[in-house]
Amino acid sequence: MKKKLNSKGFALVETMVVSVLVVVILSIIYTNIYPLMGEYEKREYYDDIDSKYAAYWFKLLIQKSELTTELNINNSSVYDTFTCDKIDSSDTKKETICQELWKKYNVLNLYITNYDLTKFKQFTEQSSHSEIFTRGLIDYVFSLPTYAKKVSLNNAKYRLILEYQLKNDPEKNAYSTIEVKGVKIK
Amino acid sequence: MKTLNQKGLTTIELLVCFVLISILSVSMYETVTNYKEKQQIESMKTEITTYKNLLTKEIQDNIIQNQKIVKVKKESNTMLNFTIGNLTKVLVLNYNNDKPDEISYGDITNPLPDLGKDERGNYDLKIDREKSYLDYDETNQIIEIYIVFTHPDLGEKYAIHIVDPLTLT
Repeated sequence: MKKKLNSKGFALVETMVVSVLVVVILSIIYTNIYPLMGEYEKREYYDDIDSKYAAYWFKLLIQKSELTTELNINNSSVYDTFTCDKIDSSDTKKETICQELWKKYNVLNLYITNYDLTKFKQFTEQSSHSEIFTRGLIDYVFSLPTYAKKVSLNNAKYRLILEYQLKNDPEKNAYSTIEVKGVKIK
Repeated sequence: MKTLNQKGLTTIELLVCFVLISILSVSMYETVTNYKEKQQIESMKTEITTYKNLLTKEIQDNIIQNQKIVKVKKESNTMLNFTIGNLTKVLVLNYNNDKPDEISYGDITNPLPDLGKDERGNYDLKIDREKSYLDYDETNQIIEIYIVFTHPDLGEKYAIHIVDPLTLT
């Protein structure tokens, strides 16, 4: 005996219910994807060409200067903050260049940490509720890879992380990172 | 033999469908237009960034590779004279009315990307004459190049900011 096919199709109510469900799902997806667009806009100032060259000049300055104190990067501290007064004051030329670069780039913070960022990343995430670092810096460090090697291919032991205020848009900060081979201590 | 359902749709069903489609189309129209505008702005951003990156790299490479033999003379706020060994390269900001503003460096003149014109026929993307400057600090031998781009849709979001010490060797 031949089976009779159900050829009634969908009722209007069924179609409407499905449409409503589809709209709800799409709106949920949209609200979740929308913040990612903001994230992309924030990342425009991560490692852009200006900030990369700025980091390069600071790296050169740190490598070529004699510092007054050892970098305090060990088991108890995963990073050290660099300021121009750490350059030996007998080298006035380099100290002046550092101050000029600092002023012209509106540098907010310059951190030196290990080449391998694993510990620094953990530390910034743990201290996200405190005010040690700016929210922008924490987001930037979060976006970086771990570089999970003790040294780079160029035998760089340290990593410099630069945070500065944009001259044309003081409400926004630019971020950059670059490897540092080593430092000389007087 | 199987009999086909040949009843079709009722007028009410058709009307409801039309109303639903119209509501969806109207609500989607604005979203689509917004995305179209966003896409245009994104392509403008890409053009400015490419322009900025190429010029910055050219200038920075010259300075980094020839740091010991670069000499600089400031002619004006819009002109810097570089002597690299036996070569002379001049960096100039040209403000134009009938064509896009230009930044020339050495033999190459780089007109700003054409990102549209206003009602008067002026190019939308311009170099900010008041804020941009080329500077050379002779005492500390530090070059500062600051060129701000202005655009009605992007404001002053994009700029070239180069600060180079010549004596860091």
